[in-house]
Amino acid sequence: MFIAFAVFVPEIFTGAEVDPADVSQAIGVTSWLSWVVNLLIVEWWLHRRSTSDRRRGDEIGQPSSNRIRTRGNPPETESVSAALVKPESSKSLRVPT
Amino acid sequence: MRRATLITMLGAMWTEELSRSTSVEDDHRIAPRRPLLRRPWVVPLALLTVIFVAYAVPPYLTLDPARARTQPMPPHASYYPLLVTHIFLSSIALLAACLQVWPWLRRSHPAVHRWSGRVYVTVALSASVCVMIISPMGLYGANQRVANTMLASLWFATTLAGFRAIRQRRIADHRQWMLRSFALCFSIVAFRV
Repeated sequence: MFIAFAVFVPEIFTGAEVDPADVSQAIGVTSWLSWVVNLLIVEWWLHRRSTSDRRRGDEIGQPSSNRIRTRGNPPETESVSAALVKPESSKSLRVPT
Repeated sequence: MRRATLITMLGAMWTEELSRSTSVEDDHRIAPRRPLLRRPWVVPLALLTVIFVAYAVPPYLTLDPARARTQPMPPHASYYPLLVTHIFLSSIALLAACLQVWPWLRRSHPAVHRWSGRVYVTVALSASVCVMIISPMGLYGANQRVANTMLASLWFATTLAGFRAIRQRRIADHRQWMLRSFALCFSIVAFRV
C-alpha cells in the first residue's frame, strides 16, 4: 500500500492536496497486486520444485513421471491378476499326475 | 510356453511393484531433514505473522466500529459484524498457516498438522465467504471491489481444492493447492507493504 501510494499519490507523504480518486485507484491497484504477486511467486516456486525433481529423476535414471510408461502397449497387470486368482475349490479327489 | 508365461508374469509384477512404490514415494514425499538455518523463511514468516496479528486485531477486540482501522466505513448494518468475523477468522487462519508450512511439524507431528489443517480449512472457508459478502460494499471503487471479490473466490476455491485433494489421498496436489491458498491468505500482509 505504501509503495502504491508512493508511486501514484506521492502527495500523501508531502502533505499536499490529495485527489480522492487517485487514492481510490492506488488502493485498488494494491488490492490486485497484494494477491497476484503472491500467487505468481508460489507458481514460480512450484514450477522450480517440479523442474528440479524432474532433473534429479533424470540424473538417477528414473522416469520423471510417477507412472511407468508402456509405450502404447496395454499394461500387463490384468493378465497377471487373472493368473494369480485363487482357483475355485473342488470337492473332487485329486488324481496325481 | 509355461516358462514364457512365468517370465511375463514376473516382469509384469516387477513393473507393477515399481510403479506402486514410485507412486507411494511421490505421494508421501517427506521434506528432507534440514536444519532451521537452511530454511531461512520459517522464522521470519512466523514473526511477521505474529507481529501483523498483534497490530491488526486489537482495535477490533472492543467491537467498537469507531476504533476500526478502515475509516470511513460503508453504511451497511451488516458490514462491521462481517468485517470483525472475517478479521478474527483470518487471524486464526494466518497463524494456522504458519504451522502448516513448517516442515519439521509436518514430519514430526503429523497429528498436529492434520488438526491445524482442519482448523485452517474451516476458518479460511468461513472468512472467504465473509469477504465475498463485504467486498461489493467497498468504498474505493470497482477496482478494489473486483480485486477483493476475486481474491475471496480464489481463496475459497484453492482451500476447497486442497481439502478435496487430501481427502482423496492426493498428497502432491494437496500441497500445491494449499500453498496457493496460503499465498492468497498472506495477501493481507502483503497489502500493508
